[in-house]
Amino acid sequence: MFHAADARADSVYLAELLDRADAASLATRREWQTLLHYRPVANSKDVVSDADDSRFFLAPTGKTDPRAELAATLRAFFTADPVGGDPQPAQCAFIARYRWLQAALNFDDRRLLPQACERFQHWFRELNAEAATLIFASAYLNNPASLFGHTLLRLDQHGQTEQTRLLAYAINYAADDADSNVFMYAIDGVAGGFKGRFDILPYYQQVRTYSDLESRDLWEYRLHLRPPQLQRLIEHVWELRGIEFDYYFFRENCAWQLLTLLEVADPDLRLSDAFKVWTLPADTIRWLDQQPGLVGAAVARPARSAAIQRRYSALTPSEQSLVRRLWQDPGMSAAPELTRLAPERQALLLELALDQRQHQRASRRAKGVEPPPDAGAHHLLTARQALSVPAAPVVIEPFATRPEIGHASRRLGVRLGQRDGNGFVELTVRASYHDLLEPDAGYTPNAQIELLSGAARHYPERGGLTLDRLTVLDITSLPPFNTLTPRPAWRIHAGWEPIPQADCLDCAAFNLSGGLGLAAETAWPWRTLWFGLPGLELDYSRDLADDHRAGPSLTAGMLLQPTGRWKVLASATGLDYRLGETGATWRARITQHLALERNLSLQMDWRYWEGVSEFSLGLQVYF
Amino acid sequence: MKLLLNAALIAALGLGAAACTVVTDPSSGSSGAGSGSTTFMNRQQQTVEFASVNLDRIKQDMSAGRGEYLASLATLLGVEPGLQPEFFTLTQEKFTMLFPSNLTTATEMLAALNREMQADPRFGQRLASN
Repeated sequence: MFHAADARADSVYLAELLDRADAASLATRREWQTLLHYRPVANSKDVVSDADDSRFFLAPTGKTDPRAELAATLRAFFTADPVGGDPQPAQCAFIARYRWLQAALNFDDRRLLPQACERFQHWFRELNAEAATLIFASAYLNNPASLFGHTLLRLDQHGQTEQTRLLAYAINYAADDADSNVFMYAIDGVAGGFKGRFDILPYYQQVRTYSDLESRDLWEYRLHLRPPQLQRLIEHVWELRGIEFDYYFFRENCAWQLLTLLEVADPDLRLSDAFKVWTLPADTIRWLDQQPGLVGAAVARPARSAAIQRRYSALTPSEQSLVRRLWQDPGMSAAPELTRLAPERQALLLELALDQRQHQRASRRAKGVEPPPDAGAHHLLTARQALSVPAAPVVIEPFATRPEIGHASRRLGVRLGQRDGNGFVELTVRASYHDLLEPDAGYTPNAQIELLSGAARHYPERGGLTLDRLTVLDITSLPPFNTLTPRPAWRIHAGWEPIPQADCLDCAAFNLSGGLGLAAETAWPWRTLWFGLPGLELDYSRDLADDHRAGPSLTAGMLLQPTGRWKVLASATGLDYRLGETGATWRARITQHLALERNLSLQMDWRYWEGVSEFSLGLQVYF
Repeated sequence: MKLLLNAALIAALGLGAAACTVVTDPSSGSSGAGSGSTTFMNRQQQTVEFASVNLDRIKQDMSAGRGEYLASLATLLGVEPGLQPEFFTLTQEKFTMLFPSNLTTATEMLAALNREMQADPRFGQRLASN
């Protein structure tokens, strides 16, 4: 009897709520659209949700029908049946939806009984969040998945200090790539074959992975969210636990998903719409920085390796040699060369030698090799412990500068020039990201990552438009050599390059090449990076005998940086093709780049190759 | 040859266009609040987890008598901010008791730390009431 009466009362109230929701068009409101991750389908009035998990929806048609989903949600609020990625009553599983509808429709608690949601309350108390901080991890050149950086969101705790931010929790969106090989990884990544998920881990885990093991500088941006906005963000993260999304490297990646979270927090923000084709983490930082009043102070968290290198460079040559000996033979810690130094210097040297030793062990362990117990480290620790003074202070700056101060990553250019006496006009386009000649501000220095960059030419004498070159991918990493942490320089390149010949000025070949060598930095004549890269080259073209040629190469060059905005790159390459069309040849190139403004630059280029010389001058804009 | 080139092209595109990190760190510990679970560890479990994951960093901080790993550990142990400088000095002075050898584990260190703090009037009282 009772139950029947209850059920009747419920259905009366439900009908009333549904009517009011319809009258207010709640399903079309921005709040509802962001909570369900709906976005417009191209060329139609329909919407579709990014979530690819039936547990995220209460209506069978929820993925594409916001109104049906809203009705099903209101209906589910009247029962305690477990639903969602982490089964519990609908009011608790979708607590952000509940709270919003409760406020929008002014629920009568006597007619729609609220659930206690103790698990959520416990979780919320444990997060103890007071503010949100966006974390940017700079590019990591040794992992193709991390070339363009990474972003995550930290929930800062009440009472947290600079010293205890490690204990805060961080929200990370990542793809699950367990058991996939390199080839499938590429295909799946582009086509959405991976499943993405939000994780919540203590920030120290993220620092360990990104800063300590992968040597990536972190930038932390405090976000100005009002308390109700932060509350809604956290409630929504609760709804997302365990929910799967198709993961696309290009667009629907970590950076993009964090934008959707911020849109839930503040539905007035329009963030994710700005990224139509791809979403690079650094670009999202630039975009967020342009939103009025959203991004506050930024704090750097230099990578462990950066802290090691900065301290090492601040030492005198004799101290440097002492650190190297300490690091290799910790028994040295009692040697008179060390103990006669001031205690603050001793402390600095011991801490540095120890840090380097532990850092190397941690890197080895991350590669799956368990290093033997390190008795040497214990020597250094006890020697350091015996000095009760703080180490001499050293200012530690990160190497990667804040992304929002850098040039935008897309580039358009126009050039005038001549190849072998034939004048041309050229239009250049680059999808992303940064080359060696562009100012380092905002990017990882001494590194180049170019993706999809091409040039189309028009020779007035011959008319028409020809594709001169198309770079699919070009990565160059030239870390300056240092005696404590030597790292190799390397480059890889894939793309179509011109191989002009007397009778064919715009012949081209598909070029695959790579090199491995060393780079060194000097302060003379200006800040100058010298590099030598032995490598291999493969050209494939119909215009070559046997369609191809391959052989070893040697490139030597220098990158002069008279000022931060003016750089000159000069290089020469000797090649010896042994396969296909054989023969030895050489190339030379000098390029100057002058940044006129952050997003405007002038470039001058001279090159000689295949017995042909070319000169050009151009203007480039970034957007 | 053509097929090979196409394959290389797709691979280069896929690898090159990748943003964000996909690789998970195999050596990291299992922390409570991952995607599936809904409960966090209690404070003591959190302390052990933090100390195990960051043992090398904590060692370095203790031998230096300061640092953010040490400050974070102090916070997990409930040492009030005003008392933390004294806590840092204590860990530096008692370093060889806390880490008698390079094989000392996080739980052994935490047990020794607990003993040292019990024996110290500045910290003993707080621990008793914990």
